[in-house]
Amino acid sequence: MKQLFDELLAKLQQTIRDPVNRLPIAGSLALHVGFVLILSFKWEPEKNAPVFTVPEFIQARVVDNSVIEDLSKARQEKERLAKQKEADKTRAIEEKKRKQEEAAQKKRETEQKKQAEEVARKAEADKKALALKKQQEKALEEEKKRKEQEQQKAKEVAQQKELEKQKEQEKQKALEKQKELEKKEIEKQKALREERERQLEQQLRRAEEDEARRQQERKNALEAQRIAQETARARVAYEESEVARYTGLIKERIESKWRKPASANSQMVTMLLIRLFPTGDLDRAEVVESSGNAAFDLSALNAATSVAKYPVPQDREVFEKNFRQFRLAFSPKN
Amino acid sequence: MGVCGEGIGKVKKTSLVLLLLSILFWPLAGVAQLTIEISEGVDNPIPVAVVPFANRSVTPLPEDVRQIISDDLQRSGEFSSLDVSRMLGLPSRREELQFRDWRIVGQSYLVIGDIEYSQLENKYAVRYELYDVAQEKFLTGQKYNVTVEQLRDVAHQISDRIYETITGVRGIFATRIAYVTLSRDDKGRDDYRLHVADADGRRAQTLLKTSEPILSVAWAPDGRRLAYVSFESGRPAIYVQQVDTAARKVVSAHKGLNSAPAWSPDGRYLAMTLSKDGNADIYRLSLDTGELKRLTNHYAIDTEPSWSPDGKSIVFTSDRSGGPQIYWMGPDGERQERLTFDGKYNARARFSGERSQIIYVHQQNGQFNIASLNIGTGEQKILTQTPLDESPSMAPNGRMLIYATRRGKNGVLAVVSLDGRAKYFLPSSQGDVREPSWSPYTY
Repeated sequence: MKQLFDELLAKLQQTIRDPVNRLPIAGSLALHVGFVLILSFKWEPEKNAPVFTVPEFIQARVVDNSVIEDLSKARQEKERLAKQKEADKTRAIEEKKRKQEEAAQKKRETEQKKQAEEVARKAEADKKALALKKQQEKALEEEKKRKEQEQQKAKEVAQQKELEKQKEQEKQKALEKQKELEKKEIEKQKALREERERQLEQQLRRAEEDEARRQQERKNALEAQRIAQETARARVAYEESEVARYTGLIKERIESKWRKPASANSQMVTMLLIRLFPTGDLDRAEVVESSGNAAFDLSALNAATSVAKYPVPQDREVFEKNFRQFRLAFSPKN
Repeated sequence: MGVCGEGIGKVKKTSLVLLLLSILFWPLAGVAQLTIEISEGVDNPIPVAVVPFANRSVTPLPEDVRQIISDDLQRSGEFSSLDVSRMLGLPSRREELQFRDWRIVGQSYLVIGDIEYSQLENKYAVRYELYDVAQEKFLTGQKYNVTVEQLRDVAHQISDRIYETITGVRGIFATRIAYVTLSRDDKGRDDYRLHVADADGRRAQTLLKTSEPILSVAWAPDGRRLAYVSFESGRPAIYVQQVDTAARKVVSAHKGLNSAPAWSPDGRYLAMTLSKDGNADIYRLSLDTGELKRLTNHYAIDTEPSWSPDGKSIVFTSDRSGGPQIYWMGPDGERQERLTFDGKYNARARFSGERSQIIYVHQQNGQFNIASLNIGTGEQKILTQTPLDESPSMAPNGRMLIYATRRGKNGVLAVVSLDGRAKYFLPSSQGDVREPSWSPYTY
């Protein structure tokens, strides 16, 4: 038991010496002192019957959970023993008290007898005894208090340690949790970042796609425009080529029919207006500008009307635009 | 309200139609009308069908009018006349015409007509019509009432009308030609004769018969007189003779040369070559007053004068440069200028009917040919290829010329058109033919 106590004490001292524990211990001490002070007010012993209680020591030691459980059992056993002891004590105290009261009764009776002489002395002796008693009680009380405080302190230390341990564990847990959270947060952030990156990438890709599409659309539009222009150009070229072709054919056909009259000279110009049907058949040929020479005009008209069928383009638009109605200018080169 | 709405609807509809029409015809309105330039033609003769003239009387016709017209046109070189055997029908009236038939055989123009003999008048009513086949259009036509002797004249006049209508140039088919023939009589003497014939050589008449040479026959602008040089008196003298009456007179019989008479366009003057003053020079004789004016005065020979159609110039031949070359001068002999420079021999110039062109005899590679010269550009063109061509005389329309050439042993008359399309010899049964002269228009 003593060994255990010594160990506890040693541990306690070690704990106290430990600078880490100083502040909590000091706090704990202050708390306990405060607590005791408060208790001391409550527990103010009856002036008439001072009660001496055996200070209860709590053995405290640093153990692991299994030890704690053992300790707890031991403590419970100890507490049960202590309670029994306390009850025994109480009974003893009460017995003592009863005996004291009886003695006191006797003494009072004696004293009543010796009251006179002994009043002073007794008073003195009482005073001294009371003083001593008080001193003892005080010492005891202080010792008790000190022990209690120590126990309390040890307990508190243990609790503190437990608390610290718990705290440490909690802290550890919290740390782990924190770490976990941080990890999760990191992962979350990472996921978020990745998501953002993905989104960004997607946006970028979409933007790129949009840009590509726009470019494609622009390209398509330009291409369409180019094609349209080319088509238009091709159409114009086609029309020009058709006009040139059929102009050449008509010219050839007319020239093969035109017999310049003997009176023709290079100053003469006869302009004919030719109207054709889409089949190339002549609708009408008329002189719109005379050369002034009837025979020359006649030769032109004769040539124009001698062509059985005018070569005309199949393309109706080209025909309508150019060959539905056109002019023939007859003028000899020589 | 309903009526009002309907009215607005109609207005809108009309506007819409107008809008559509304007859109439809916008390109036509906006775009310049296509004009095709035709500058070249074919040199092929113009195809013309002269349908035999229907005889509306019971007696046979003394002349084949259709054939005369057809030959005239064909001879010009500018027409090709369709053979009767190729004709798909022989219409003589407008209502009988099927233009398609003539298009099928490729004809551009069609001549139809008929002749009706009136026993009462002893005249022939000749009617013709000219149609444009392609246009199916009547172009010209006329009716003549003539004697049997005039049938050929009418046929030639119809040819002239057709020719002029289609070519724009007056025809020369009714003109005449004068020429000289040389033959030998039974006693072996020279027999020179002056003839006048239709332009186709038919109906030749002898105006003069002599054993001495006849040279330089020239028609007066009125077509009724001829000037020529005859040696019948033993020496050359210039005569003017009425064609119809054969009446004649000597207009120049000076000492020495009296040659190459040329009528002024107004017929009042004769330019000629005289050597009365010692040297052959050109003089101008007034037929009204007999006044003679010397136009050239050069030690070289100046001869063969010819008036320009406007009378403002006279071309002549002169060897003042060492050989015969063509010169020209004013009507009073002023501004004498040489015109020909190509070749050593250029002579017998005549205006071609225009002031800017002359025709003349040009020697080239030992051959004598007829050439033309554009006075403005100096461009010379050889017109004939026969070996010994001489005495060119222009037809009054300037399209053809007649000249003398050799064919075998005999001299013959040949006709060539200036564009080279027509080349033919005139028929002659009277030996050596020379000195042709184409008459002016006779009507």
